[in-house]
Amino acid sequence: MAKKHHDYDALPNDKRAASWLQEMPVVMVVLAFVLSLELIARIIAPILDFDRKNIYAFPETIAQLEKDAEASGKQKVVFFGNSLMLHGLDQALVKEELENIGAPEMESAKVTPVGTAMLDWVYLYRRYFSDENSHPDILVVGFVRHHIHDQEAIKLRRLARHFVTKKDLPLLWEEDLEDFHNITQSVLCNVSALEGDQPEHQLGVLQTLIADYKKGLNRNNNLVSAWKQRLAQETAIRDGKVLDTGEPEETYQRMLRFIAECREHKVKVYFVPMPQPEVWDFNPEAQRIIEAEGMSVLDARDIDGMTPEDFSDGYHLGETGNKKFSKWMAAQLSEILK
Amino acid sequence: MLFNSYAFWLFFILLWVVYRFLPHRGQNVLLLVASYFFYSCWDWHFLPLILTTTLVNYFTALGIENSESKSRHKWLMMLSATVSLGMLAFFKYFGFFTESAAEMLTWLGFHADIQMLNIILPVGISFYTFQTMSYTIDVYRGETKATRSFIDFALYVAYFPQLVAGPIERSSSLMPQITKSRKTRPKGDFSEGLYLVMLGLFLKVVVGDNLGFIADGIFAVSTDELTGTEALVGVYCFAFQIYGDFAGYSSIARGVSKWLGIDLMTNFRMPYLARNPSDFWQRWHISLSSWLRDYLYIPLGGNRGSKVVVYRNLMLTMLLGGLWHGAGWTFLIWGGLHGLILCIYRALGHQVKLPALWGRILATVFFFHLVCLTWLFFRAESLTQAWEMLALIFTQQEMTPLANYGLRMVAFFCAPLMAYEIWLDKAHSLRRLETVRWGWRAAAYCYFVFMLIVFPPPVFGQFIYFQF
Repeated sequence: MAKKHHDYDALPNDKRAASWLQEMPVVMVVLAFVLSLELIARIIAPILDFDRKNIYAFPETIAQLEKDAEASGKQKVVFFGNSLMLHGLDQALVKEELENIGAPEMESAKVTPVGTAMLDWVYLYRRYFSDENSHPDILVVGFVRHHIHDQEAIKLRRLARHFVTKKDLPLLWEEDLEDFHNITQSVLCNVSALEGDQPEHQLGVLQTLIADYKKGLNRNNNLVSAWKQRLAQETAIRDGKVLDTGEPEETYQRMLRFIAECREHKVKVYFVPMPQPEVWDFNPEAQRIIEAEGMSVLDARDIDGMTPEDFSDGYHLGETGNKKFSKWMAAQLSEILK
Repeated sequence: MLFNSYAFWLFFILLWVVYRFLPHRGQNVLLLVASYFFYSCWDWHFLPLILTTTLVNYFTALGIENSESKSRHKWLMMLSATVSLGMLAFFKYFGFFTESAAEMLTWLGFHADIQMLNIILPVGISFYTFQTMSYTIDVYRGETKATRSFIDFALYVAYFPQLVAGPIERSSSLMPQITKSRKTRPKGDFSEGLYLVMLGLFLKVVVGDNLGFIADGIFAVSTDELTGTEALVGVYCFAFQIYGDFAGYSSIARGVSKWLGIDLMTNFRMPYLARNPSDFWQRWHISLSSWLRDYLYIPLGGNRGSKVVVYRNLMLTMLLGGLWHGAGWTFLIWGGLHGLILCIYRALGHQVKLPALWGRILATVFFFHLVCLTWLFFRAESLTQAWEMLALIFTQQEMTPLANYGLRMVAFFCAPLMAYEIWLDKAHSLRRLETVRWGWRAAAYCYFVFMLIVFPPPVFGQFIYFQF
């Protein structure tokens, strides 16, 4: 080292710098702090938001269904899916309608974590219906197009934390994750509530501190995704390639895994393409696969009398839509339950 | 392999465990192999480039040292510079110059059918080229002795913590640490390394990537869809993105290197607390600014000569500094603006006297905005976009949800950072936190860890300076 220091010389350690042993209290405090955060995250997890409350209630919901069905001897029906089914179906109304029609009665439950799609359902089913007696007789799965194909993005933190069991982690790595980063992330989220529920903690703090957080974030997200599309187009033009602006080809391996899982436990699955303000294209290939696998499709895309006004936010069914869909579902079930 | 990836930390832990058990020569071989592996993770196709640079500079430096002939020294120096700069020019500037030439010929009315090559920029080429050149120039000037060990020299060129984004080290500082045993190091490597890594991860992941996401959105949109306030927020976000990103990388590089027993130079010293351009360039990317000063500005004549000559030297240095960052007109304008600011400051700076505390605050805020103005040109995708955004900022102010969100995000992520930097600056020390009672350090680290866990960015960004 030169005696006279220039601004480009690397300075040696400060004489007062702590040795590694002296620095251990700092490391210990940081570790204790992280553990405390983890403890707090675990304590607040079941009440963190509506979604968590819903997820944490699944074991109880499923156990109750099992108990009720055992006592009454009725068939077990589980309404499965995400917020579309959650907001779209009124179980009490379905039961009332079944009674009015004179159809066989049923015991039912809803397992509908919001914002989920087929891959979540694969692992969710394996996790929450692990007891041999817990399997329903009939599983009714509500979805729209993007929920069932393999091209839907994975929400890794929630998937790893709430739907994948430790035992299923190797399956997740083998089947669904490719890179080391995501595999590590899945382990961290599986073992830590702080990591797994991080987006909700972040949202909670920033929504409290920053006015217009969601509005601003949404606009920013839109700008970034438009920019990425433009960038992809420019790159394609530069490389002399034709950019395929159409929909990517849809594949259904995740759905096949889901069906196989249900079939193994003798569960009859009914796939329900859900109503939307405008009738959407249900990929005939998906229908072909479902039927080839011995399951059925109950097409709810175009229910008589359903209008755009029946939707509360242009996506989910509102109060009137919920009634129309529930009555329609009861009519379908009356045939199935016979 | 990014510093903020799990893969890097696994790589580093494995390396460190083996490294501790090896003798000095074995450590150097291991570091060299690890460095080439690290670089291969980016793109192994460009390894021959580093090897070529290494071989040419190793042998030319030895040739210079082994010869008494001045003319031979000159020829060898020119050979080394031609190869190093030639590769840099080809990979970095060929596309830009041919494209600009084609545009100019078309503008002049000629039919220009110049074949464009789609050349991929090898990561870190600007950094290792400058680092290697400084070694050969120092040997040529007789300021450094050429090393006989090829392994040591190859490690000097490819040392992985600073290979792809600096700091651009000097042979006088890094080479002795490579050639001499690192067994008897002063205490403090662990604690200083920990501090640098924690600070670096906070700067990169929390500050840089979160604000980069907002800057990306704002700079992506057509100016018709923006308000002036949104444009201004975009510039603020980018200012802190590039600082967080680059200072974060340098800090992690220094921290990781400390754990290997090698000190790297300080690359940033609270740059946004600078009060004038001269102060700024002693705080921002110090390894590049000192390189440009020592190998370009001073050889051009530096401060000697008439005012016109000094201004010419300043402008040339800053224009080339701009061009070093990237082959594009916006980078040239950025360099030109900084040159101009330096010239104006040199001409008029001494005439401006500001009252003590408020004067310093005013000068800092004013100069920060001047730097932001230059960042606008640096970040813009075209000169047109830069002009349009600039016009918007001065003509149309309107607080929108996006602007409100962006401003508050800047405050949320940067206010604690700036308060910390003011605290450091008051003590004129970057090491204030390392020398206070351990409880304060623990509190600061808890804050860093909390922010890293709870506020990771929506998308992890590449380090911006990898492209330079």
